[in-house]
Amino acid sequence: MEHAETSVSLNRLNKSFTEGDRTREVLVDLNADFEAGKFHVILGRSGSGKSTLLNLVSGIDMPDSGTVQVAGTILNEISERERTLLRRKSIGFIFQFFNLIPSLTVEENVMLPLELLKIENRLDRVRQVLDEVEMGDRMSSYPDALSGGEQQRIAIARAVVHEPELILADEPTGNLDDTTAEQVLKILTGITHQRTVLLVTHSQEAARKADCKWTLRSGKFEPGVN
Amino acid sequence: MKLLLLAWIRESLRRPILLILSMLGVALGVATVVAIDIANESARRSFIAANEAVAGTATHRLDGMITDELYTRLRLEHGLQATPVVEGGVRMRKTDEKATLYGVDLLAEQNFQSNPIWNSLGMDVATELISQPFTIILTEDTATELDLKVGETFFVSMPAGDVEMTVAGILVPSNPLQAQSLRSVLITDIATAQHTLGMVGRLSSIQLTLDQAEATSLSSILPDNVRLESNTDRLNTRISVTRAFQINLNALGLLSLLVAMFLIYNTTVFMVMRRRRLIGIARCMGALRGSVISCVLIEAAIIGCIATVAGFVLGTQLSNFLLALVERSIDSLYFPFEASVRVVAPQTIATGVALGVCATILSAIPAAREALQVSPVHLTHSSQIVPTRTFSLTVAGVAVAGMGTVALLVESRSVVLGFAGIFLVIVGYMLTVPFLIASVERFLRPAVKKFFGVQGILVARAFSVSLNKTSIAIVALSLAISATVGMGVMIGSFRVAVDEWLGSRLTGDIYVTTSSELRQSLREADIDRLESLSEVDLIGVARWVRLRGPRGETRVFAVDYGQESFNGFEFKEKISGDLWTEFEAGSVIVSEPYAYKNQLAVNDNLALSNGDRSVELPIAGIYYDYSSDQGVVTMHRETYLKHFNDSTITTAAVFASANANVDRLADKVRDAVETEEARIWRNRELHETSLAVFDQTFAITGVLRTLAMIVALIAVLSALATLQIERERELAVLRATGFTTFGIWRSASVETGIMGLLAAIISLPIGVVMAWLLIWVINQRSFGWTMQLQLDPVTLVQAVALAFVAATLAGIIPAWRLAKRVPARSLQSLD
Repeated sequence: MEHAETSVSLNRLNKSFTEGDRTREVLVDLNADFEAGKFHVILGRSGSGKSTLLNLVSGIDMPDSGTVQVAGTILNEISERERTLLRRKSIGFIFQFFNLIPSLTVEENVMLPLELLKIENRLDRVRQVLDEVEMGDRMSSYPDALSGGEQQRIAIARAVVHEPELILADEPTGNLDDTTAEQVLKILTGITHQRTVLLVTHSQEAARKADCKWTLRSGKFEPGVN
Repeated sequence: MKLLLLAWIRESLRRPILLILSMLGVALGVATVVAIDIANESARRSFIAANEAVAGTATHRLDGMITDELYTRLRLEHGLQATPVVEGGVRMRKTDEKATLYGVDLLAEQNFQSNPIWNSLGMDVATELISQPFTIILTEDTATELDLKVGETFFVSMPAGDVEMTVAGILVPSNPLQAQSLRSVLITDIATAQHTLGMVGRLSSIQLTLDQAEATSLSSILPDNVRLESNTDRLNTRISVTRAFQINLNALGLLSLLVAMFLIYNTTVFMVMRRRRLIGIARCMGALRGSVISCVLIEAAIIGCIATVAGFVLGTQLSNFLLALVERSIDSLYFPFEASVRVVAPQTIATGVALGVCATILSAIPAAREALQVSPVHLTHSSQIVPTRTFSLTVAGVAVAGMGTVALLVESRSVVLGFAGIFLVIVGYMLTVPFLIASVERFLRPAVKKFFGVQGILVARAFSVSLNKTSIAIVALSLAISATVGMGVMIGSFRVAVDEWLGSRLTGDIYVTTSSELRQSLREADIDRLESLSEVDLIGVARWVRLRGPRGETRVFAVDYGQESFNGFEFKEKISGDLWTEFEAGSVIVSEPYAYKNQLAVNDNLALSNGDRSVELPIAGIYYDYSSDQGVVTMHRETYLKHFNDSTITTAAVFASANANVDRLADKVRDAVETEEARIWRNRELHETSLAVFDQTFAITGVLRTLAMIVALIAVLSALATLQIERERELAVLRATGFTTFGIWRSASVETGIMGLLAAIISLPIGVVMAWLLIWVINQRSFGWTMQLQLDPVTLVQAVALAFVAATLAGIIPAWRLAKRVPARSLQSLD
């Protein structure tokens, strides 16, 4: 039997936070292999460690123990600079609150990852992606002139414009109404087809789109749900 | 990187007020430094230009009581190349501006053909100047200013009446420096100048071209009241004696820039804190830390460059004003001086650019470090509070202050090292301010809560949370206030010392002086007439004279005012025996600056010479004296007569009898004195005039303190604007829940008031320390003066009031904006 290729692998991952004189264990001995090219949805209650998990996978935060392997590279074993360069090339981010840069236009926001990677013909690529998210006519608008749904579409375009191997989405529909959330999910699943997506949410609607479902509870994945 | 920088700069442009305030602060700092540099450099060039314009190729100059006869003798009997000069101040009637009437002997000038001024004059003009009385030559600029052409007439005002002059020619200077040095100079024939200035038969000076042997031989044949001086020595002396004064001004200028640096620090840290989200997004997308730091520093460099250019424009304008004050101070402190040149030297530009741009970038480094601390993790966490690093700042502060103390304790006469030490002590203290504020705030919080209720709690909490931002604003304000206290206490102490010194030393009721110490002696007959006046108890006589001391020219005061007057001297050090007896027996006493500059102590021997005779006299005491920073040697008149055989009297002190009316006696003295140029001073007039000169001398420090204060106010305004932005949402919620605009305004005003109060409390101790250091280190090293520290409660109360009012005033606009803002918009914009 042929083994499916793994995009992200977690091995005995532990992460805790200290608040005052209390230590809160957020992730406890967490193990998982996220198959490449699949749409993974991670469910869990607020405070269950979903966002923390994404931070660790992206390398913007480090575990207390255990390892995170992304695209064949163990993040704990490389420097902060190398993690940044890996993130630049291989990861796209989508946030609940969009996190577009308010002082850049739609076009500039989407172009930023291409500029960081020094990719040629940026404008053509930006136009193409914006057309895909149906925002091609708002290229020169600033984010604060857009609705929540529009902003999230721009955020999706920015996350995929440089064709990363892995897309991390943190509650991308959490701040949208149902209709808009449905539209955004449709665009997201369409544009990320055949890519690895790790989407954390507590939306059952989003979960229905998943190739694989994971539920995080008490710092561990519930067995047998994916 | 390009897009990140673009985003960064656009973020700044969204807060134009903060940007403008930062630039304004740096611009004012640069403007002050540039203006002082221009003023100092212009003064220096003026000395040189004046020297060149007057001396041409002449090497020496004769000063003192010079007669036509002496000049004739030098030319005919000794065959020397000599040019006589008669000069004096006049006023243009048309503009009421001061001008210098400069009389030359053109026939003698032919020997000085290399002097560029005379080369541009044609023979016709020269002939007219010699043959036609009351004809003058002026420069193109002056002619344009007065709207005069050749052949036209105008009036100059003299105390004796107006004199009509005719323009014989217009001089085209060969270079801009010469043009400036001859600005407001009216050149005329020597006879016209003598007549107009009331100096018939006398000359102001004689320019000579001599080699060393000729100079030595000439010195030996000159009368006592005529002095030969090398033009180079004269120029160097002028430059060196004013150096300490100029260093003091530079240090004051740097103070404004230091305050501006705190402003920049405050703004850049705030900007970084506001951009944590931007930094987080960029870092998530793979932007390296170096790119983020570059954005902070490039922005700082842009602010620095724009502010430096603005500072230059402002500084060159400000320099006009400062140059006038510098002119007045040099005139009061050192020698008659009029700045003829105003020059922006390349080093001024270099200093301005280096200080403006470098200071801004340097101030942004902590902000860049702050940017490094921003983790993209913040994007998924709501807390944005950055901990205040009060402990590490305090440790750094103690270390910096320690370095400053070491620099001050080093045995040195360096003014620059002294200022460096003081600056380090102040900066070190200021770094501990966040810790002090935290302590004071903890102490004040219950009181604020008690007096201002819920709003008080709000203020106290906001204050505590926003310590990072408020503490830097308080530091900037404290720095300016401490400088105000420090300078105020120092000048106040100095003024008290001068006032007391004048009181104890001006023991005579009326003084009769000749206008110049060398020109003329008071006539014996005048002294006799004064002694015969019935209301006169005693007449004391004295002679001011210049002798050669161990390190060059020395001002000597040979006095016989009696023992009672002698008791007016206050001594810093003296011999153990009876000082008066020693003084009468031939010892001298020296002023504190003289002892400091010549490294002399009590019981040392002081060598003095007048060219003919030399003598060594023991020093019996060192007395406090604030008349000159070059110092004075005082000896009994009998001692002077014995060793130098010169009975000239330049000052007579009239001691009135017990019940005499001094005003009436002054009139009688005026009638009794027939010596030309003698001036009569009542004690009160002399005292008041001296204090007025003192105030005039220190006027420039007042201006510089005000400039530092303005920069500090901008810093406070900027800090309050940042707080306003930070708290916009919170206050919008309060407004939405029913707080009135007045309530919001009151809350914001209480906060700024507390800031001011804290700044004052913090600045007072360091202000007093600064005053103490200025008195005991800087004054001592710069001028050789020491005095007692006088803590005037009024100065301290004024400083507290100033801080409180300044901060409250600075808070009015932000508070008003906060109160007026529509709550819905604030809530929306922050969603």
